[in-house]
Amino acid sequence: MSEMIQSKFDRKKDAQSMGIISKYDMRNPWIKILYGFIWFCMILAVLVCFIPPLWVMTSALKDSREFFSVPATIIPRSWHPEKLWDTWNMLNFGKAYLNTLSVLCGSLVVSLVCNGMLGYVLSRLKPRGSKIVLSLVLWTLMLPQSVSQVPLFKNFLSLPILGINITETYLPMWLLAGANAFYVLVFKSFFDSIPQSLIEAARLDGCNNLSIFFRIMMPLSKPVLMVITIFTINASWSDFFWPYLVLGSRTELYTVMVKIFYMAGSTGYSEDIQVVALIFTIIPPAILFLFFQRYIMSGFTLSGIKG
Amino acid sequence: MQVVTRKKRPLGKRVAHAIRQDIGAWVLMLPSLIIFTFFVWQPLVNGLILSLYETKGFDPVRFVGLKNFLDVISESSFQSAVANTFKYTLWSLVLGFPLPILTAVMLNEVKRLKGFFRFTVYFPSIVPGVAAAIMWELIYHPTSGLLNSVLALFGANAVPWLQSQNLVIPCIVIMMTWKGFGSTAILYLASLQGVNQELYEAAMIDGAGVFRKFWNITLPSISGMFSLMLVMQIISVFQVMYEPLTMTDGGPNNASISLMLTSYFYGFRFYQAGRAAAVGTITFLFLIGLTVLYFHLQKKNDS
Amino acid sequence: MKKALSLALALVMVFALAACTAPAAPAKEPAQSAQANGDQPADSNAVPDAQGEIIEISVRGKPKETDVAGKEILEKRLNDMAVKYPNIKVEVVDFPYDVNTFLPKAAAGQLPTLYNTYFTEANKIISQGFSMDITDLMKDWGYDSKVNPAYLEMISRDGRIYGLPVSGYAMGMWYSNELFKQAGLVDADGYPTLPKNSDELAQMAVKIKEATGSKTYFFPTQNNQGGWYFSQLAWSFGGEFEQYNEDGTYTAIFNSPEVVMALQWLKDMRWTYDVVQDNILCDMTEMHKLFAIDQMAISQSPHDQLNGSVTSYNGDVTHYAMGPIVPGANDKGRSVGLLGGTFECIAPNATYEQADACFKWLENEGITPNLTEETLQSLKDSAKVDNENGKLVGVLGIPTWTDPEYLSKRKEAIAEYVNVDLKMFDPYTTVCENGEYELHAEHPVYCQELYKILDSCVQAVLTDKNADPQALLDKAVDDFQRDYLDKANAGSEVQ
Repeated sequence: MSEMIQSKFDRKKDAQSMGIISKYDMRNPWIKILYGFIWFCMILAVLVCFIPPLWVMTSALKDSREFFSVPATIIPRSWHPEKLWDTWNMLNFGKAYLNTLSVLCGSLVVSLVCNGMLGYVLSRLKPRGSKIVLSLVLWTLMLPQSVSQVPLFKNFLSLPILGINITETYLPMWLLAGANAFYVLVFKSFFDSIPQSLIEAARLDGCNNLSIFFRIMMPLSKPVLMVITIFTINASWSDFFWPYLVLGSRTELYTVMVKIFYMAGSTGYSEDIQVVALIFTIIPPAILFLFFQRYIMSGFTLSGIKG
Repeated sequence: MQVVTRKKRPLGKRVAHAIRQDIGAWVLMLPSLIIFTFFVWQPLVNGLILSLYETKGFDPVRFVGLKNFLDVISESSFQSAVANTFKYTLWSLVLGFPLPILTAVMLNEVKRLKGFFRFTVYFPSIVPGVAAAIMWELIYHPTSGLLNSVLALFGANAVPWLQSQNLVIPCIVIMMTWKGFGSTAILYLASLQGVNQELYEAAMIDGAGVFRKFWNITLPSISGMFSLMLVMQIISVFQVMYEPLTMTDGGPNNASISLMLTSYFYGFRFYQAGRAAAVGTITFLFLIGLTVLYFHLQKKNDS
Repeated sequence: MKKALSLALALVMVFALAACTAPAAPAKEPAQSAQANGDQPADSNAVPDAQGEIIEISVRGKPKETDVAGKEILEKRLNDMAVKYPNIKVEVVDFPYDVNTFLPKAAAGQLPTLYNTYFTEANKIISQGFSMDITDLMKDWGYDSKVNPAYLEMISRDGRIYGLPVSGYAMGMWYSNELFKQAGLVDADGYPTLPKNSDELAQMAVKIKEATGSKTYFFPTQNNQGGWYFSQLAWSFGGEFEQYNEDGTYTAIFNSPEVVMALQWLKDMRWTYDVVQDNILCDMTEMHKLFAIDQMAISQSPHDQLNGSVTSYNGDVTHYAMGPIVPGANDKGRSVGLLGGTFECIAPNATYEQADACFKWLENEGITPNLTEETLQSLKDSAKVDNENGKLVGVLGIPTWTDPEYLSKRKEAIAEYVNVDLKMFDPYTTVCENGEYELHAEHPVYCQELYKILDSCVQAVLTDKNADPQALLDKAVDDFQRDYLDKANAGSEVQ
C-alpha cells in the first residue's frame, strides 16, 4: 500500500525540476536574453561566494612576511602549501576531527528524530494541547538565548531530577541538537504540505501513527531530512561555545572549533597560522556538502530521471 | 451522590477516550519535549527571572522589581542600541530578504551545472561563524584588505568600511547576508522543486508567458514560506550580537552596537547579569511586538 | 481569547517548572573534577598522609601541545611536588583567562582551585565573590608583609586580601629600535633617542614616517583598550577622571582642560600629523603585529606585552626598546605610569587545605617572595623554557615583593638566558626599579564601564575629522555621571 502511495506521489513529482522556462519559451529571443542574464547572475554569485574565502586561504599560504605586509598582495607572490601540513601536525588536528565527527553523528541522530517527530505531531496528529506546544516552540525562536546560558550550564552539571553530571562528555551537544525550534518549524511546514489524502489512505490501510511516520512520512521527507541534516551538521560543526564550556579541561575530547578558539584566544600562535587553521574549518564541511549534494539532488529529482 | 457520579462518568470516559486517542502523539513528542523543557525553556525562564533581581554572578541576591529595567533604559547608549538594532534589521531585510528568493528561482531555471551552482551558493553557509568574521575583517581591512587593494588597482581612494560610522552596519549586514543567503535559498529551492509541474504545462497550453507563469504559479507556490522566513529573519537579525562583537566590538563610537551586544557587555564584561537579563527581556518584548504586528497585518491582508 | 488563555497557561506551566528546578545545582567541587580526571598524564600521584587524607587541587598553566620545553618543566615540577608533598594531588589544566567564558564557569563553580588573572579584572572578580578570602593564609605564609603595598591595595577589600600578586608592570612606551635607526634618531651607541614630551613625540613620529613611509603611532580603540590607553594619555597631561568627594560620592571630572588637551592631541596625531595606524578599529594584537613587522614606531604598553608581539608575529627581539611614559607638553605634564599586572586567585569553594596546597604549588613554581635554592632553580627553569620558546627574557617590571634583594637575585638567576640588549630597556626599567616612576592606580569605581565610554570618544576623534573633543568629553562626563556614578552615589550599588 505504502509503496503504491509512494509511487503515486513520485509520479506527481515526475516532470518537475524543469523550472518556469520551458524549451518552448526559449524560442522567444527576449527569454533567451533573460536566460543569459540568469547565467550572468549565477556566475556573479559564484565569484561573490568563492573569491573572499579563496583570497583569504591563498593569503594564509603566503610566507609570514608577505602575509603581514601592507598593502596586501591580491595575487600571492609566495606560496607555501607546506604551512598546511605543519599546522596540521603542530595542532594535532586529526584527533580533533574524529572528536568533531562524534559530536556531529550524535547531534544528527538526535536532531532528526526529535525535531522530526515533534514537527510531525504538530503538523499532522495535533493531539489536544499541541497548540500550546506549538506556541511555546514559536516563542522559543523569539527569546534571546544568551540569558539562558548559565542556567543551562548548571543543568548540564546536574541534570534536573536525575542529578547526573554530563559535562566532559558529548551528551550536552547531542541533546541540545534535539531542541531546535527552527528545525521543528521547518519539519512542520514540510509535513503540512503533504496531502492529507495520503495519510487517510494509510490509516484506512491499518497503519498506526508510528508506522505512518516511519513508512510514509519519512520516505517522502528525503528533501527536508537532507536540508535539516546539512543545517545540523553545519551548526554543530561551527559551535565552539558549548564544547568549550562543557569539555572543560579534557583536551583529548576537544573538537576542531574549540582548538581554533583556543588558538585565537591565546598568544603564542602567529596570526597567519590562525588563518591557515581556518582552512581546516572550511574545507571538510565543503567536501561533505559536495558529497551530500548528490543525495540531496537525488532526493529532489530521483523521480524526474525515472519519468 | 449518585447524580454526581452519573454526571461525571461520561466526562471520565471522554477523557479516557481522548487520552487513548492522543497518547501516541504525546509519546512521539515526549523526547523532544523533555529536551525543550530542561535545556531550553526552563533555563530561559530562569534567565529572564534574573532581570528582576540584583545579582551576584548569575545568582539572584535581592528582588529589586523593575530597577534593572529603569537603569538600562536610562543608559545613554541604550537609545543608539535600539536605533542600531532596527537599522540592522532594516538593512538585512533590504539586502537579505529578496536575495535568497531570486537565487532560488534562478537556480531552479539554470539547466546545466545545477549541482555546481547549488554548491557555490551554499558554500558561504558552510564557513563557520568565527572563520567568516575573521575572513571579512581581513577583507574590510583599511590597508591590507582585499576590497581596498582592489580599489587601489583602479586608482580609487581607500574606503574606511568598518571604521566609518555610516558604513559599518551595512558592511556587517553584507557579511551576514553573504553567510546566510545560501541556506535560505536552499529552503526556497526545496519548496520550488515541490511545485507541481503539471501546473506549468497547463499554463503553457493556456499560452501563458514566462512572467505570467512566474507570477501566477511560482510565486504563490513559495509565498507561503515568505511569512515564516520573514519572521525568522527579523527575529534572528534583531538578536545580532556575535558579528559586531567580533568585527567591531560595537564601534566606532557605538555605531554598530546592538541590543544583544549591550546585553553581552553587561553580562560578560561588567558582570551585571540582572541588567543583561533586563536587556534580553526588552529585546524579547520588542520581538513579540513585531510579531504581533506582523500577524495583525497578515490577517488584514487576508481579509 | 482562547489563544490568550492557552498562552497564559503555557507561561504558568513554564514558570512553575522553573520554580521547581530553580534552586541552583550544587556547584561542582574542583576536587571532584580532579578525581574525574585522575587518569590524565598531567597529574601527580598522591599518597595519603598520616591522617590518610589526600588533598586534590587543580591549577592553571597547562602548556600548549607544541610547547615541548614547557611540558618537560611541568613534568619536573609535578615530580618535585609529589616527592615533597606526597599527599597533594595536583591536576594542571588549561585555563587562560577569557572574558567570554569566565563568568559561566565561575558561576557554575567550575574554576580551577588556582587561577590567574589581571588587576584590571580584580573589581569584578572580588565583588562577585569568585575569589577566596586568603587573608589568613597570607598571614600564615608571611606573604602579607612581603607584598608591595601598592599591589596589595588593589586586591584588598575592607582589609581582607583576595589574591596573591605575582607579576607587576607600569605602563611605559614602546619604541621600534629598527625604525628609529632608519630615521636616524639614535645616539652614538645606536640606542634610540627618546622624546621628552608629547610635542617632541609628535615631531619624531612625523620624522620617522617621512623616513620609512609607515605609520608611526599606535592607539587601540576596541575592547576597552582605547579607554585604558586614553586614561594613561590623559594622566600624562595632568588630567584626572573620577574625583572622590568627602561625603563618599564620586564626580566625573574628565572634561577638564587637561583631558580635552589629551584628546585633542590624539586627534591631531590622526588628522594633522597623520601618523596613527590605518586600521582604527583594533586592539593591542594589531600593535603586536605592526611592531613585529617593523611598521610601527611608537606606542604605549607594559613590558609584559612584548612577548605577544615576539611570539605571535615572529617579531625580532632586538627590534624593541622601551622608555617611561612621555609627559604631555603642558605645564601639568608628568611622566606617570599605570600600575598593573597579574595575581593568583583561589577558587571560592576551596577549603583552607586546598588553598594551602596551592600556595605550596606556587612556591614550587618559584613565583613567591621566598627565594630559596629550589625556587631560584624554578625561576631559572622558567627562563630557560621562555628562551627556548623564542620569548623575550630579561625585562622585569616592578617587583611585587618589597624585599630589596629580590630583584637582583632574580636577575642573577636568569642572567644566562637573557636574549635581548637590556640597555634598550634601561630608560624604562631604571625608573621602575629605583622607585622614581610615578605610579597611578586604575579608576576606583566603574573602571571597565568608563573605559568603554572612553573607547567611543577615542573612536570618534580617530574616525571623524570634525569631532569636537570638548563636546565629546562633556557628553561622556554627563552620561557616565548619570548612568553610573549617580546610581552608585545613591547607594543602591557600589562596586
